[in-house]
Amino acid sequence: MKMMKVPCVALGLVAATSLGFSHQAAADEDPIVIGAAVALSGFVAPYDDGPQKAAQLAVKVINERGGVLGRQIEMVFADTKSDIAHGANAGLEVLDQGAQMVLVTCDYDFGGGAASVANARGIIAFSSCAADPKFGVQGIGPYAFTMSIGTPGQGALMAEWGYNNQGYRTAYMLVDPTVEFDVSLCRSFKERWIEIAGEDSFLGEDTFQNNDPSIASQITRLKALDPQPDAIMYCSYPPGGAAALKQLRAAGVNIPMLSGEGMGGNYWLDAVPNLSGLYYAIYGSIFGDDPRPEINEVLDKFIEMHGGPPATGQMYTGYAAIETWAQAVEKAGSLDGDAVREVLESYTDEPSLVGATTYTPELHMSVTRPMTIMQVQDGKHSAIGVFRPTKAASIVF
Amino acid sequence: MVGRVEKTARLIWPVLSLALVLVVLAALLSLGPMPLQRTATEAFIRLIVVIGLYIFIGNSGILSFGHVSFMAIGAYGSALLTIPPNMKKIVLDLPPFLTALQLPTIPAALIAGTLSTVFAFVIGVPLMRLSGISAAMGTFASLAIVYVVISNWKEVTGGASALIGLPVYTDIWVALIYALLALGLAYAYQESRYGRRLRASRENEVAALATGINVRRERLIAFVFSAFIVGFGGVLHAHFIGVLSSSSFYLDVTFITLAMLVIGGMNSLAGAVTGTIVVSVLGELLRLIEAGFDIGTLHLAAPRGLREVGLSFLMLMILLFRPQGLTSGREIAWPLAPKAG
Repeated sequence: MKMMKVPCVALGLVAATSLGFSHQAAADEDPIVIGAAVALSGFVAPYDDGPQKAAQLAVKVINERGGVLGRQIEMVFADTKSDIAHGANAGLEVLDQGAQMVLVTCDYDFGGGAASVANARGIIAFSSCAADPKFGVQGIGPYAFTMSIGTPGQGALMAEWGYNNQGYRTAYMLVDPTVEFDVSLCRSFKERWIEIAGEDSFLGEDTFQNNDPSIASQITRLKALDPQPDAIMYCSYPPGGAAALKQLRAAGVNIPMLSGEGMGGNYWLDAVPNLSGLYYAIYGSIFGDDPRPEINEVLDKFIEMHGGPPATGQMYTGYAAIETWAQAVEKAGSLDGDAVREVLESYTDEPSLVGATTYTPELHMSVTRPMTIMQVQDGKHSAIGVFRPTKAASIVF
Repeated sequence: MVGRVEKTARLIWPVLSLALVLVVLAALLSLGPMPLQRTATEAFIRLIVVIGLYIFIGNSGILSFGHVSFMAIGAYGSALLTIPPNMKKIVLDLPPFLTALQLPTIPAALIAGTLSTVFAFVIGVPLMRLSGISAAMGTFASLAIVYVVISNWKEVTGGASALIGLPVYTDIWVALIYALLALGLAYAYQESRYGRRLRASRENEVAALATGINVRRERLIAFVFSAFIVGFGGVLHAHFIGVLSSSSFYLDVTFITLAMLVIGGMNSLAGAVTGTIVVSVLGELLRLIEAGFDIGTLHLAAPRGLREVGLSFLMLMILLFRPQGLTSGREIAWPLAPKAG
């Protein structure tokens, strides 16, 4: 064995390490800290952009009213980089900065990590719009809540609206199972559609992956259907969801497409020029034409604060999450996780920006709130109206 | 008498000195703020993996790109044994007995480590017949297979989505204790007749064969043993943040752990430790520069990705100017007396 004289390297490094890091100590206890562990970069960022900026707006509004429990609120941020494992790190980062509530990404897969570290410390974690029923007690823990409208409601809404308002009589389904949201959205649609329209009216389903470069074989199978379906339930999200949509339209499939909040937003529309016949449900229009005045009022304030509209209509849930949490803290009279959780779990049809919110000890999401249904015609988004499902699909975790 | 004490001291000094450095580092870092402690914990977990890599790569001279797959198996194995049953029921679709099973963390870690070992034995029997570039490619292929299986086996691993709910118990002290154990085991192996026989084959395979060393068997022993250590690194990683995702056991970790070993010097245990410390500290410093700092009202920040560029540059420099790594494959010598004759 060869020998080396003195390992000065290691000792030098000890010194370097202790000198190199001088993080600021925990700030004084005065303002209440809300930590946003959200995607600031990567492909999830468009979904989080609106909610986290709207959360800032809500904080500003609350602070102008005098804060919560007489204290001002301050927000800190950490980037999950749209990486599942890094999400937990981002959660820990904001907890280290003293966060007493953590706002996490709008998705079970990408927001679950940050929510679970907050949950482990008994700190309330709110997702803006994670809509898979796993986001809550069962999939994360008792301190995790989401402001979304669950997929059992979204899927049922599109089935009811398509059948009753659009007069569709047959449906087909294209599922992108990359995230849990789309799996449960389509499962809910199928269940409710078959309830309303009957088993025979459901013509079948196919799957594709979000990163599939081509969905030619899915298109071939779809075009082979005889008769063609009146509508396609399309459960995916950009970028893959946009690329697949372009291939469908380019192949001459002009059947109306129904979708959930995953296809919301304007930022991907350049990929599918002059798109027509896409209908999706979302928390509110970001184009100033929502039928609900309170939605447009928040949109105006948002544009005033941030200099432009948000990327997607998920924005409103970020605002509502902060609003709902702040109310619960006031009612509980304390920031204690258990006290706030008990208040939240007692909520039945509690009003919020995105509709009446109900939480129970078993389910930390609402399923039957009304949603705005949007359409894309000739490459333009516009609101059709606000609808509410009469019955949600069953909740499957 | 004095001679015997000194002989023992000489024998254990190379590992004792490394252990002392680690203990001092941990003690200093544990006084720091939480983010720093977590960075340090992660570095200690990486160290365990790098020590595991060293046991095989350093002693056999064969490059392995596949060891991160043992880390993945250890991590997921321990996850399946420790996630609370009511949570497993929701996110996974396992056989009933496995769903109901919840073990304390240490037995779970041992079983998970054993699982990695068994897997290493199964793939090691054919792989150890190869050497040079074909062995490296073979191990890389096994990494790719494990990654794809974990990403798609939804019922058991949760697929590409997050697996949540693992108990979190890895802090800086736990990571330190396991790192010290790994260090001791690696040194004991290296000084044993098995380690020496394998190093003989590293220096000259033909000569080793001619002196009656069963090279394949020695390589397999090192491969399986290193898989146990790396598997344990995976277990600690899993219980460090409590969230698993298949993407964290693929090329990124493979690159960074190999870079640590190569930069430190892959032919000595001191190299494994030095490399891990240097790369971790440098990575953290670059990350801080990336995040930026304020001078008065001026905010200076480097472009994103500086960390990766910096580490790659360092590795390039090492390969060009000091191909044996920072330690040149040497261990730390007993400092008191002149060099043993």
